[in-house]
Amino acid sequence: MKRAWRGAAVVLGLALAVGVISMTAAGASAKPRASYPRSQTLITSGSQWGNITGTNPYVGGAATGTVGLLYETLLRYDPLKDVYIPWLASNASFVGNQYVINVRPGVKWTDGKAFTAADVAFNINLARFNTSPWNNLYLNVQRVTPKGNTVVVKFKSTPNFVQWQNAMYNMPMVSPTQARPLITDAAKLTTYSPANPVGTGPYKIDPAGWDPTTRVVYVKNTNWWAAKLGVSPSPKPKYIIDLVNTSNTNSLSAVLAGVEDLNNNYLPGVQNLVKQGKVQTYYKKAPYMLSANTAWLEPNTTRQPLNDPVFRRALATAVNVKQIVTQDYGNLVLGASPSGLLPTWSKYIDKAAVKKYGFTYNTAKAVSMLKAAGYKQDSSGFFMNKDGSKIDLSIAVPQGWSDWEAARDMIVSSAKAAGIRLTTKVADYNTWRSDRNTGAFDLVIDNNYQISDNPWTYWNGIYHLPILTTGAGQTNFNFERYSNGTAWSLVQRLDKTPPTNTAAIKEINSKLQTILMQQMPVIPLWYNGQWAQFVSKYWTNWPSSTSTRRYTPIMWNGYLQMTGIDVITHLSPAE
Amino acid sequence: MRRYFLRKIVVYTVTFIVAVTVDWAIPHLMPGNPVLTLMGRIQIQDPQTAQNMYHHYMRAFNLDLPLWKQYWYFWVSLFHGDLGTSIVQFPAPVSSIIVHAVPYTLGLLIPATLLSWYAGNKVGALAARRKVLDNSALPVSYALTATPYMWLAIILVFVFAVTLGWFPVGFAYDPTAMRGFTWSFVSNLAYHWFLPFLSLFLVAFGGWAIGMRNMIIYELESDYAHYLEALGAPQKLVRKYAFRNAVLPQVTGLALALGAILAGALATEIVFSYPGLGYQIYRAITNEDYFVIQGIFLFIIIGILVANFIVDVVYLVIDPRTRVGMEGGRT
Amino acid sequence: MTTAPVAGPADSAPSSVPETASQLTTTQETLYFALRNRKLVIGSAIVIALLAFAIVGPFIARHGPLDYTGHLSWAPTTKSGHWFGTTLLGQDVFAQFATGLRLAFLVGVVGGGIAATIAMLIGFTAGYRGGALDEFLNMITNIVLVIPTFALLLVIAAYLQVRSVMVEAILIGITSWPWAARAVRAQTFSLVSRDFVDMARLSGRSQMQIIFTEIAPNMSSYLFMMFILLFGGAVLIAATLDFIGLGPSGTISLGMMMQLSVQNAALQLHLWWWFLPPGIAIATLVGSLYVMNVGLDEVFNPKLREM
Repeated sequence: MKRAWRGAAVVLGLALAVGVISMTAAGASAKPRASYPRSQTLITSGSQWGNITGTNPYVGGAATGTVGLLYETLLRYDPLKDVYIPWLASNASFVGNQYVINVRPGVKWTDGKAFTAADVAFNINLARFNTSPWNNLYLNVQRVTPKGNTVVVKFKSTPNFVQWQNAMYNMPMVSPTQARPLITDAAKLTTYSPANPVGTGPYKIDPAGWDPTTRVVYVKNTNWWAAKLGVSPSPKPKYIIDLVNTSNTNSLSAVLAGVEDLNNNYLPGVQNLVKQGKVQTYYKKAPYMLSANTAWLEPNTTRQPLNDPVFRRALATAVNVKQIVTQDYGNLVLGASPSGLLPTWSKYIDKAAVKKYGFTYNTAKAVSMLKAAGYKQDSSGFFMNKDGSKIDLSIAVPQGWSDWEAARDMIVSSAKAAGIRLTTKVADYNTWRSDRNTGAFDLVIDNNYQISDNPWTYWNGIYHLPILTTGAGQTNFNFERYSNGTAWSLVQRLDKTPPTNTAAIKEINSKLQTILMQQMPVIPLWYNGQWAQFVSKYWTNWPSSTSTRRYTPIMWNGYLQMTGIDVITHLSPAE
Repeated sequence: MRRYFLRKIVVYTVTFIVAVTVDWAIPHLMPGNPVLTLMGRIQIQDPQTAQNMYHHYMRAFNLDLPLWKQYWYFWVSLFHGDLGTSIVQFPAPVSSIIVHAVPYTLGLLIPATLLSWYAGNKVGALAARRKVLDNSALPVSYALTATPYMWLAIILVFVFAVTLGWFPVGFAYDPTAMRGFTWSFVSNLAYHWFLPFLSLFLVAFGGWAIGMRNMIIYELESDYAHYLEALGAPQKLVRKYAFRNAVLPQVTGLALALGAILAGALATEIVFSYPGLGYQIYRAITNEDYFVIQGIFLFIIIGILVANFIVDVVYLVIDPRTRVGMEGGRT
Repeated sequence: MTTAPVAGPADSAPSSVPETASQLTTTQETLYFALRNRKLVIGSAIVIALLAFAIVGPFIARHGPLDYTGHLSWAPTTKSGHWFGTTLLGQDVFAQFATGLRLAFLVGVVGGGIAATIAMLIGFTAGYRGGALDEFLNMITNIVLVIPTFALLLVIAAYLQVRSVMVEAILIGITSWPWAARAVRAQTFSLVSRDFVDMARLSGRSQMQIIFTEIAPNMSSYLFMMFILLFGGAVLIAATLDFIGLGPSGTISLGMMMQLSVQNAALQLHLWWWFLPPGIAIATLVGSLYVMNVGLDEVFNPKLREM
């Protein structure tokens, strides 16, 4: 019997030792340190899908907060107030064919050097590489001249006012001291990822906590210019830890247990928990979340009968969006307006046009529209093409996106009620995507184009020409392959209209909306939310619609430099 | 003995080549283009810039070479220890992704496999001789082994983590923990490790217990057992010999079961958001990350081949009949 | 002798000599002991009950398994026929459960059947012919055995455009046969050297005839038990594949129920009626199959009847 016990001890010890050693070896450092004090740490998640690839602000997969916490931008943008916030630039505006940037004095890099006009010029000139997201804008730049505290950007021709303005709150300022020797060609721009990046932002990367499969840790920059100059309150959390996403429901458990403070995942059922007071959201009642982008039904407008605007309008009228909003999303989203313009762009909405050309869910009306247009129904009640052939349209969403799958099923059944036959097509995300890009689809549910400073990004996405029929196909815009020269030239005109010409802007927007509602190149369905749920176990003073803190509580790419950073700088420790 | 090992090595080598080829081939046969996924993460407004980047990445990943060239380069890099670069988590090398994930998976797999094997065999042997234990342990073991791994994980999470709050709901360690060889970190790791380990352990335990119990019964009915009994040997001695003989198939069974427990570990990692290989491979498949899928598969294949080889050696050591047979004796 | 990961059938041919004084035929004797074996009776009863439920269930359900009824997150109730409650999105759990159970049986029969067929083909051929053919088949068996089949299934299933239950079952069938092939081969070896086989050979029967008329019937009990184990294994593998998200599209299975419930925060929202039934069903079905297997083993192998 003793031998058995010995055997047991050996096996047990071996097994446990292997377990412990292997896991501790998963990145333990040699020096023992204390853990991060929870009450001084803000823990977030919901932005980092997949392992952290580094700190490159131009390519996806970089640590959350690379732009916003670490690197900053010349301006910021508040989508709820629709104002630009001077940031690293104390002033920036168009003067004729030039853009004049006044660099704010007193800004310092974390290596102690001053932030100068030459640094700004360096960063703008990085767009000369064809791997830069702003390369197309740079092609219209003649010269970038830093002088004293000013940078003058001279354009070759009429500036792209809208796109340039958008770039001003998205283009990160990286340290030339670090970047100049390293970014020497287009490829190096995409691999630039220093381990100890130097930025101007309120936080620095803490290399000791870095674990690409689990988290990124930021430590407060005590010399942050904005706090020192009184431009912004100093953030209270000493550390910010953003966790790599694993699963939505584990994030939910973490939030409920107070292991996370803020989570930006879509968490189905969270409305029930808000009602029970277990988590908080921006709005206390439906829709609970601010809106982030428009989800729409994209038809392939080159295929019969989707090439008929009347058919598209009938389809739009046949979809029961309310069912999707209440049953699929539990009212966590808002049904879209007929033009699909996000609520923050409501000032551009042409109410008269909406009244005249808008649509609402009405099965009977859809049927009568089709009949009036000459479509006939077959023996089972489904409409046929005008040439008598069967209508059987496929509708696809990426496999596994369960809320879209449910929405798709609801659309199929509500279309059926109006006599339009839709068939579910299943594909994994990448197949779905390449089918969409190459035009190998009938209908897809899709969403793109986050909230921004100008509906131009929305219109550009719908009307952009030319349509690429070879290679990778449509990679960024106009997946529905809608060709309307008038609309596209209006979009281009909008880009070239100076922001001071409010009358022209209004008129163009009005025309574009009308075209959309009459032609329905895309069918707006609902607005996806800026998913944000938070708890006050360690931090309070979160944003809410009923307070003065009307900020976007989102850590996703592009949101921190909107008002995400204000969320962080206004938090107070819970007592 | 030489023939035994030679045979085994030939089989493993052929298996390796076949497996590597299959491993390389399957991801390439899938539709869709992973470079497009990478492109989607970069918000490029201008189509021309987008096309430039697209070609740039296609070249970077050799995706524009003919298939047979890609296959050849695959073997070449394999022998250089280069498993490629992840497409979706560009520019992270696949080997670094694996290195970060492997300790967590091994940390679950090895203790769970060994401990469940040991405990299962012990309990199975005990159950074979005591009717009371047999009537209680056996149905429980059947229930356990028939339970899908992820369901037991779900139940454990629901009862012990969500409802009772005794254990954490998932993750490898507390987000605020500082990594290091400190007691606080190690105990934090163990605290998060316990439930995933337990769910793997329990299901595997059931299987071993049942197997062992049946083997013992079978052995107790064999000729040599009856002979010993006829000679008047004590029951304990008979059982000891029976146990030794019964353990043999359990050892080979260990190598076979590795594949099943690996599957269980994958599902369990998903339920607990445990950052091991299972979770990485799941993400890689969802995102069609060629090189990561290949790299992890390769790693798994090599691991299982090595494990099988170890088991073969152990079997050779503990079963004298194999040795005698190898050395030219006749069974 | 290698065992399956779970209970392995004993390695001996069934006795063909009646043990009781009265001259019962083999079949009658088998039935006699079968009906008296508690494990076999209870196991089969449960399996048959589940099968009956699977057949009848979808008909008595008041809703389709995928219908959105608008009744969100209801606990089990008699209202509107939601006896097992509803999901977060308002689908009827009872209907899903019944449909899923049906699919489980389908996967088990088809997947287990295909695996059993392949195992028999390879095992019989290798065992009977021996020699170089045996070595070759052995090598193939070892290769398929060692390759982590679950990982392989994961990859294949992930890339398929069409995800249906049949395809899933076929994939499982063509990857889970190795241990069974080995077992069949071992059994065939022991039978091949028996006198009655020599007699058959002398009488000029062809190989196929000998295999299927002499050897197989003597192993029939063994083959049946093997099929039961393959059935159970197929159900488990399918459930795991479905859970990971590779389940059939356009329908719902037990593994998918578990997946959807976890994805939709059923754990945190305490919607226990959503994730408990599928797991209980699988555990019960597979467990009963295993118990049946042991019972059958005892019936066919008199040595095990004591205990």
